[in-house]
Amino acid sequence: MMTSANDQDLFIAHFDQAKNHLPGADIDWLANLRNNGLSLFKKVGLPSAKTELWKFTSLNPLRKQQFLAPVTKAEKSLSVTDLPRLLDETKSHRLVFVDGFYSEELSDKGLPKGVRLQSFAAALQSEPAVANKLQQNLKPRDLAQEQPLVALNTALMTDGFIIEIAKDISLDKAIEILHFGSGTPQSSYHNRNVITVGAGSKATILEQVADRESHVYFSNSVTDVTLSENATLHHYRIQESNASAFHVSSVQADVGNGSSYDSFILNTGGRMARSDINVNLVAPNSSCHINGAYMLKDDQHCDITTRVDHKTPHTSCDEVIKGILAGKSRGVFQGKIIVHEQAQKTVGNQSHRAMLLSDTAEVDVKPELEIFADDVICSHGCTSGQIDEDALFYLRSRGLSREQAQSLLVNAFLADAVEALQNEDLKDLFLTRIASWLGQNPQ
Amino acid sequence: MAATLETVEQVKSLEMEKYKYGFVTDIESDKAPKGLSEDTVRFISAKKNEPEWLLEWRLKAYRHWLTMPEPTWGKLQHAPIDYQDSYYYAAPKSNEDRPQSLDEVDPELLKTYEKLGIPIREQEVLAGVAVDYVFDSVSVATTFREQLKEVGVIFCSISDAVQEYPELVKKYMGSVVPYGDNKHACLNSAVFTDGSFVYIPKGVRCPMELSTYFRINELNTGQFERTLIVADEGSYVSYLEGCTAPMRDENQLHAAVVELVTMDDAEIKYSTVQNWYPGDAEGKGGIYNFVTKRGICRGKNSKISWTQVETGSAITWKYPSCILQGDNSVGEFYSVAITNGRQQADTGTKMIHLGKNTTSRIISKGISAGKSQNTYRGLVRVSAKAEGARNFTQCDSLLVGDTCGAHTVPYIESKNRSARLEHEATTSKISEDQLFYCRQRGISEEDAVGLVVNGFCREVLQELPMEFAVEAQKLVSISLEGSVG
Amino acid sequence: MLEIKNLHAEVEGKSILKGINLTINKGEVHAIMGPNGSGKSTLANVLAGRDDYEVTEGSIFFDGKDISELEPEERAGEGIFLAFQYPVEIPGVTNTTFLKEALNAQRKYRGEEELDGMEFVKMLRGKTKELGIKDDMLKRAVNVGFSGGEKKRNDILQMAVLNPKLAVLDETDSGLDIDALRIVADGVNKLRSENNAILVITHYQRLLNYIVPDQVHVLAHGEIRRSGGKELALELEEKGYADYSGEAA
Repeated sequence: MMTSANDQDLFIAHFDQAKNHLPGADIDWLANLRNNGLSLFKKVGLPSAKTELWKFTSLNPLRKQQFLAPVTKAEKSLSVTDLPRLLDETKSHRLVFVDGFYSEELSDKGLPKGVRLQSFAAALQSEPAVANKLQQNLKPRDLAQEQPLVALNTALMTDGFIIEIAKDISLDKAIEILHFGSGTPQSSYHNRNVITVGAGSKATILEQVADRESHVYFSNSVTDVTLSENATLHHYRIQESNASAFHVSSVQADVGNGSSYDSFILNTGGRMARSDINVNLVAPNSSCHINGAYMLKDDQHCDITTRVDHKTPHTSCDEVIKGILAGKSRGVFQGKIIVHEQAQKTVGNQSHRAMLLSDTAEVDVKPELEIFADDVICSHGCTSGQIDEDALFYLRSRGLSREQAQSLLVNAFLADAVEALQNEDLKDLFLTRIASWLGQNPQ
Repeated sequence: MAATLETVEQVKSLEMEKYKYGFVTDIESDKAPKGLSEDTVRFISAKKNEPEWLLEWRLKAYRHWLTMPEPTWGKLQHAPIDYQDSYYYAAPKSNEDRPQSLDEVDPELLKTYEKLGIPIREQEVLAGVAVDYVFDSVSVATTFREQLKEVGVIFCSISDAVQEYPELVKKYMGSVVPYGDNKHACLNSAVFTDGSFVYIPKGVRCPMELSTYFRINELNTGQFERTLIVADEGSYVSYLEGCTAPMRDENQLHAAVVELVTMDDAEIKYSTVQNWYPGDAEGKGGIYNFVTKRGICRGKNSKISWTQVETGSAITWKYPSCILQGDNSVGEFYSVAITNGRQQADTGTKMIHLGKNTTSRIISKGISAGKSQNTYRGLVRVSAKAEGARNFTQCDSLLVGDTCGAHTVPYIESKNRSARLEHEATTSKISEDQLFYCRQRGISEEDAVGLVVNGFCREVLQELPMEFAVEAQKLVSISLEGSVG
Repeated sequence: MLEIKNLHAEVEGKSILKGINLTINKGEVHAIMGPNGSGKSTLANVLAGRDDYEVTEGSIFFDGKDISELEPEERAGEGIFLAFQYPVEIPGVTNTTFLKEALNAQRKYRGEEELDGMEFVKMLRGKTKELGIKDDMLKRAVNVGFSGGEKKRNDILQMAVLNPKLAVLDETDSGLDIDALRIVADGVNKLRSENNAILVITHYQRLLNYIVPDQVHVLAHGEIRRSGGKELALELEEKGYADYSGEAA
């Protein structure tokens, strides 16, 4: 495939600059892993328009940047009061990452029972058992041309969070992770996160991506999730960084027998935000929800790409994604449901609905069903359109201003995706976010 | 069946006309050398006594073809095609080379003909039996030609059109599917042997359904067929391609191109039944059917409607599309694709909305049985200027048996906020409850499958012209034989 | 006409019918009543020959012929009709097409001449008129978008057209209001004759006010525990199935 030399040079140079500073530089298996990642990335390069999975998302704006290697921590000093927080301390236990590096002083102290919470770097420095376990939990991916950024992440794994929940633990607090951009221009980092949930356990993990001021940076994160038997993980993410930032993230979740991976992503920030969510339903009665909403304006670009592999009988997935597009923004949804040959009795449903608020916005959608078993019920539905003029007129005839009426309808359109959330605090939080976005961006 | 008798007569009369022009003898003595080269292209063009511009166009296509990669997007698997191992210009077989009677024809083929209710004489024609034609019924074809002539409709082979209407051909050929569109279309542009040409003048409603079925030469020159239909302002035509009876064909590679053009207020309805040889149960043999079909609604309020029933071929690669350029123009795609045995189909449509208030509708019904793979692949694209565009898409897949695959790959791109796009897709297996219900009422399992599947396809089948629809229903049932029990 | 002897049957390895004996003669109407899970619907499905319902012991003779190995469509051809508890929807297939396919398939099975389009439509019109069913129902796809009552009436129409020797009504009263129930019962009664027989399977007595049975059987735990005249149904209505709740001694 065609790649220009420049594509890779910058990041290859990063590797050379950073390799001795990256965590676990003295660990052989890790060095091998990084080298494999690098050689693969060298071979494939950044995705181009010809890469099928990236056909709607161009990395050209990213190519123009001169990012710095992920070597040094932020110089700017921050205090806790500078940081946003989603849930208060009674409801969440929080870890803070600044420009990709774990900050012990900004994170909450103490640990919930039955949980190991560590940074990626710290885990590598722990006793060999912990490091080895980490090795097992870094999931091998199909690193072929469609996922070169995962390969790049593997080469440059900077830091990240490791969450290990023992079996039969039901966490009463959410675990909150703040990824904060301190304002260091052209910083780049490649977080590698690992979440494992033991048999019969339940947890809520809430990630927030935010920053202090407008600046260009690049975050390329990879998260490996493993759910044992009868476990439930609610994995909710809010991406609300400044409109110059580049975010690429890839989640891979393996869901065990009777377990459920419940994902929600709310995306309002970034110049470009690409979220890959890949779920493997590897055992009977496993299930997943992949829900989300995005609200975009100006020249923002948001891409949500999901893939659910039904690998055994009796599994189900449900996806609902909603998008609002203003300005010259562009929204992309690609969703693939694969039902493998032996996966009888699969139920898979997916829907994507987009509302365009401007004449210059664009939405591109590619829902995909790939089915090799016969006893299945699968569907997808996609719509795109503008606000319902009849409803608008109806509300105005009842005395609402045009703005009020629009806001009400858009809110209702998005709220639908949020309603499925089981956590009331988070539901309120997300609804507030939606309302405030609409407040700041009257249509 | 009166219609089929008529067909046989048409067929015979036209065959006779060819003799009259002394055309067949010429061809029969010649055969292009095996393989593909500039010489092959020149040979074909010379044989057809083509003007210089057409030869140049063919050569340009050929040179471009050399540089093009094979399209890879289809979910299809096949051994690489050896382009040098085919003949690109072969005369129709002489009577001596053909089977001398139906006794020499594959009994499986005859069984299918019987189920479709095709009369013996017509079976002979379809199976390529050397028929001793009796020149006694020229009248039907003549009446038919005269009727068309009266209203000014041109309906002839594309080779004839090149000679008789060079300006029209030059103006429109390649205007919808440029020669470099894709590798298969490019090959066709270089070596196309024949096909149909239709021109409907302003304000004319074509008085009858035009069918390739009426032209015997279709039976022999199907390999690189090229069809061009132009409907001028305010005109209408319904065109039928193919037939429900499976046809014998020794050429494995088929790469056809069809171009449709509608001017203001014009409408073309294009219906296809494709039932080429699918190969045997192990997947040996069978036609590779790589077709590029595209229409452009150039004028305002114009309409192009594609209806297809695809049951044959080892490989079907085909995306009949509409470019909706004129304001208020309408594109439709109705499709039934059935795969059984080891067949592979990758088919769907593209609807490109350029004009204001353009509308498109896609109804696709895919049925997979046996060890087959069946993919719907489609694109709906709304450009920034396509104010008020509408699309409705419904893609349903039905699985019969647990060793087949059904896939849905739609691309939906909207750059206009006033566009309203709806896409729904479902996949499910044929319901045991429905089958039991039918059987409890006395219907055999195989017939029950046929009945349920026909019901599943009804929305599409009812778009076919009446006489086609009845046979297509039978074809749907026959295609699924052996898939249950 | 129907002779069931010591019939045992299982579904997915689970034994449901445990030795049923039942004889129904021409012209008779029998009712089988029983609590939920007693095996009523299993009996109906076994008679119709549904896959997954396996006869493990005993025999079913119909008109002197052992039918237990026949396919469902062959049993239909022999003259067994099952009115479904939940009639299935078949999108895209009109009632007329369906009935014609079914009737001609059965006639073919019996070695009778198939009806051509005209004959069939004439016969069909006669039946709809007789049953007071509107003709537009014939153009609609089988049961698609039908209300519960319409689906049951459609089953009665099918029964009238196919004219079976034995009609098995499997909880045909479920989900019907009183008016619909009466219409369905009227339809069944119209088809009653000395040449055919009817087996009514129901949980409740109310249908039997309209289709009066000659004999009533109580099915519980896969066995017929008691048989009697129509008064037995009234007794069950009053006392419920409590007496039959235990396993057999």
